Order: sequence, then structure tokens, then C-alpha cells
Amino acid sequence: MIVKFFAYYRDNDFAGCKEISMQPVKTLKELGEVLSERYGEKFRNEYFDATGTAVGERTIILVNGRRVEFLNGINTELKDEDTVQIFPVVAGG
Amino acid sequence: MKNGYIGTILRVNLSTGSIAKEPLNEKNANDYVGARGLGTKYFCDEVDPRIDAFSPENKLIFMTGPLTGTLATSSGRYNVVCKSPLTGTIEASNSGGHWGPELKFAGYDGIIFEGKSEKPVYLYINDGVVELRDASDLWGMDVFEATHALEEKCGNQFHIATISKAGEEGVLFAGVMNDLHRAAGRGGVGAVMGSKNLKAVAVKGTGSVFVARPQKFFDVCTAARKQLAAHPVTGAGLGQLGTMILVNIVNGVGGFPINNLKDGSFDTYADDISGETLVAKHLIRNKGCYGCSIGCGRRVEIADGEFKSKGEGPEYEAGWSFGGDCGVHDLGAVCKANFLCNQYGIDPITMGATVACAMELFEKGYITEEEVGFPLRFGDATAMVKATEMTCKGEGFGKIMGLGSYRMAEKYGHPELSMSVKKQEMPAYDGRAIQGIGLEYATSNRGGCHVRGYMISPEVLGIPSAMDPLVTEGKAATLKVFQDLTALCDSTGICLFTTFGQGLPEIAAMYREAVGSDESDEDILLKGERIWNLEKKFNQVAGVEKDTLPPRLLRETLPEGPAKGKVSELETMLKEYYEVRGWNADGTVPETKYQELGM
Repeated sequence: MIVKFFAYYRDNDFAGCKEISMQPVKTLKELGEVLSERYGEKFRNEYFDATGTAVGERTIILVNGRRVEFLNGINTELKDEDTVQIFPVVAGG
Repeated sequence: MKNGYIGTILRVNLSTGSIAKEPLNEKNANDYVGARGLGTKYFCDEVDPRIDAFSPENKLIFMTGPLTGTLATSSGRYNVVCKSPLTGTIEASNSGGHWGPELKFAGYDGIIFEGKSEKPVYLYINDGVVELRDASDLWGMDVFEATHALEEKCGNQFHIATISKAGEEGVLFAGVMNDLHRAAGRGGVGAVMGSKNLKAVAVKGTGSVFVARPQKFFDVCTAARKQLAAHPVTGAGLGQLGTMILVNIVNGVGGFPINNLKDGSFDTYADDISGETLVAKHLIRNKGCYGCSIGCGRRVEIADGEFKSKGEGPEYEAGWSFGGDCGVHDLGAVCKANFLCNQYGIDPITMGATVACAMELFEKGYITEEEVGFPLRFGDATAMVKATEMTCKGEGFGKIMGLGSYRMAEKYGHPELSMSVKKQEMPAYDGRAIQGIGLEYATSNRGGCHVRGYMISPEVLGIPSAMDPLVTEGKAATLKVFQDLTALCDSTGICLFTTFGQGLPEIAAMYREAVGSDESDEDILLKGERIWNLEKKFNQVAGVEKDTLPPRLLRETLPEGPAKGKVSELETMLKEYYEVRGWNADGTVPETKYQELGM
């Protein structure tokens, strides 16, 4: 499974890199737990909302290019060949 | 006046040299707000839509809004209104910087230019002193040269709006540049200015803008400013990361058009030209316009190599047009091409998309190396920059590219390869992967454009709430609200970027306290709908072609990515769109609609 980070998620106080390859996990929630364990509370507080049961309000997650709101949210199941992209809320135009 | 407006319009007849100061039409200001809306109202009342855009009968209107130059956040905007030579539609091209506020400080809400000067002139405005002055020595200068020369002549406190040689020579997508790097970029308003032998407007003012209810205005502006500061996009994100930050996420959803929209994903190359890379390698500092707390502007340097240069930008759209659309992932080349557009005052969206179209014409064998002067293939960064420079300078094949992609592709027998709507190039989002933005391109009153109703907000960014980009349901109704709200926002004189963090309640509140109105939010939004219908009315009489998309988006499926297999389902959305607008099924506007809107 490939996990890609963007904008400040690449900073040293978050993932500190652009991309990682990791062992498969079952759901997006489990991915968040694994990554938060690795990167710390600041990461957790952005990845999850205050209840820990949904994606944080300042974060956008795509699984294979689809926003997880249109899949199964934080409970979206993941497969080994999936690519997960994690962004902060951004805008422009 | 003490209601956000100054109360005076300058009317300058370039044919006779006469300059008149006339009172602002207050009813029109009330009904059409200012800037885009009020400029369009003046224009439509005075100009036959069927005129040639380059005839002296076309007028060129610079108009501010009631919030321009006030305490409202990001209130540095003004619009340039005319009939577009590129599209034949009404055009209201929006710019920031400091020029708009300065015009109000000098004592004017707007300027209406009429006719055509016999020789090159510029307009000098120093508070009450307004004069047409000889610009023969400025003619032929680029934006930077002309700006510096006018600062030398007039004084460095003056703010300059000018065109370059591209505008003088009728490049159909030449813009008006102010404060060096800020652009009324789209639709060829600079070419209309050039056709009138008007080189520049230099303005300095020492007055103030007064509002109707100062304390309440202060309160609502302060509340809005705090709200923008607390929002993750308008508070920190947009300023820190710039608009180029969109590259990776739009690419991620499969909507980043590549190689003249043949593909919708740049694979791993996208990061090479992303906002993250721009910040890490080339950003010198941020820059903001008048009264802006966001500061999305970028001062950028390419320190070495073939494209060594320094300037401002690129914004996301230019990053795409010179990058992904041309298959180029050399960020230095992208920046260099964008800097050239600033220097020569041309629209980088149309420029890059025209180069991309030329690349496809070249690769398909419809134009030859002999005609271009060099091979022009997708992915060739050097060729992309060279083609841009030739267009900026009006050299060789650049003269043909200066017509824009539609007329160029038509000349070679393949207009279907122009990725344009109503002859204006679509920006940096694929309408097959992001269905609602396709509807926006098709219905935009100025041809292919993203900022008439920025559906990327809900469909990609989730602002104010997420909509699935691959479906059509609900897009028409949402787009109508976005288009009406954008028309209102543009007409007040504040920056559209503030709407990432604030909406109708905040904009309406600032408007009410500035002008002294007690209208409801809904009544104020109705002004946006009125403006939209006025623009549409002009286009109908002008004979502008129907709302549609290039055949590629309607018939060729995206070959890969999250939207693989998709085409634009425009017909479905368009039917619903006309219904929610209260228009006829063929997209024409019934007279009853105009009556309902009090037009």
C-alpha cells in the first residue's frame, strides 16, 4: 500500500516525507492509528476529528483518487494495491 | 457620497479628447452594485452588442465597487468591461493590486473610455486634475518598461494600469496590467485598449472612501476578518501554500488536464510543478493586494539554468497551462513562461492552452516545423517557452498563436482541437472528471472560465461541503447559486478568494453597512442574478454561440485515472440548469425573467 502526503503533511512535525510504502491495513481508521502512532499527536489531531471517528475537518483523504466521503468515510476498507493521498484542506484557482 | 461610492464617473472621449465628470447613476449602482455589474450595466445601456470589438464604438470601462478601497478584507478589486474581441461576449475582467482603490481615492468610481485616439495617449489622474497626455514615447514598451517610465514621468506614488506591445498589436488575449504584476487578464481587454491607442492610466489620489454606517461597517468587517483568519484556507493555507497547491489534489482526482486535455492525470510528474515544490525551491516571499489578509501572491526566483529568471506567480491556472497542458514538468520553464506573460501583459491561461493546441496540431502533422520554426512537441519545455515568447513579441508563428487556439486551429482545419468554449480556453480542470466545472465552462457568460462559478470548491475541495465530482445530480442548482454569488462578490470590489472562508451573510452584511441598505441577504443575492441575466442578454443580442463544450469532452473518454471512461454529461446538466435559471429549454431568456428581476 502506498501512502502519499501533501503540503504540511510533508513537514517534519507530520510525516516528514512525500510518500511511504507500508504493510496493508484493513481500514482508513486503522491507517490513521498506525500513522498517528508513528508520527505523533499533531498528526492524529489533523487526521481524525475530535471524536476520533471521522476524518478531521482540516484534512482531505483520497483513496485511489476518490474522496473518502464518497466511499465509506473513515471506515473505508483498504487493499494492498491501494494508494491513499492525504492533504490538508487547500484551495486556490 | 458617504455610501461606499464616490459619486463621480469620468467619461473620456478619446476621439475628441473631451473629459467630463458626471454623477454616478445611483439607481444603476443600487441595482447592479458596482465593478463587474455596474460596469456591465453602463456598457449595455450605451453599446450595441453587435458592434465589432475593435471598432471605436466599443467602450472600455474601468469600474470599482462600493467596497473597493474600504476596510473590507481584500477590497483591492476593479473590473475592466468591454465587448471581448476573443469571444464576442460581454467581458468583465477582474484585477487586484492597488490601482482600483487609488482611483477611488482620486475621486472616481470608474472611467468610461469612448472612441479612439488618433495617436497614442495615456490618462493622467491626480485627484481633480485629469488629462490625456501623449504616449508616443511609451508605445512599444512592455508592461514593466511602461510602468517604470510613467512612474518616472508622473511620480512614484502613481499607480499604473497599462498594456504592452501585445495589446497594441491586437493579441486577442492581451490584458490590462496594473501595479506591474496584477492582471485584468482574460478576454482581450488589453487588445481593446490598444485598439483605442490608449496606453495606460496613471492615477494618484489623496481622498478617502466613506461608508454609510461606519461603526457597524467596522464591526462586520472586523468579524469577517476574524472569520477569514480562523479558516484553514484563508487564514494560513492560501497564504503559505499559494494557489499552485491545487496541482496535486486536482491531479489526484484525475481532473488535471494533460497534453491539450488528451489525459486527466500527470502521474508522478505533477509534483514537479506543484505548490509544494514551488515553495521549497523557488519562493522568495508572499505578496498581497490592497487590504488583503490572505496574501496568495508569490515572488519567485529561478536561480539558475536555462530558465533563470525572477518574477511573480505562477498561479495555479498558469502552472497548469504551461505545465500539464503542454506536458511540461520543468517548473523553471513554467515560471519563465508566466513571467513573460506578466511582462508582455497577456493571459497565461489562453497562452499556455494555445501552445498546447499548437503542439497537438504539430504532432498530428497539421502544422509543420517550417511554419513554426522548430519542433513543437508535448513535453518540450524549451519549445513551450520559445512559443510563448514569440507570441508575446508578435514574431513569426507567434502572430498566429496570438489569435488564440480556436482561430489558430480553425485556420489549419481542425477547430475541434481547440479546448475552448465560445473561443476562450478552458482553465485547469477537466469537465469529465469534475462534472460541475464542465457545466460552468459551458454556461459562463464570457466563455471558458472557472471563476464565474467555481465548482471546484464543492467538487474537489469540499467547500462549503463536498459534492461527488463524478455525478451530475445537484450540480445545476449549486452552480446557479455560485454564479450569482460570484457576480455579487465581483461587483462589490472584494476578492473572490475570500469566499473560501466567508459567504453570502458576511458579504451582504458588509455591503449593507457600506451603502446604508436594509435589504435582506436574498435581495442582495438577487442583484447577482440580475447581473448574470444582463450579461446573458448582451450575449444573446450579440449572437454568441450556444452553450457547449469541445467535442473532446463530450465524446472522448478519459483514458485513465479515477474518472477513467467518463465524458462530460453536459446535456443532462444543461437541461436542469436552464430550468433552475427560469430560462427556456433552448437556453434563451424569456422576457418574463427580465421583468421578474426588475430589469
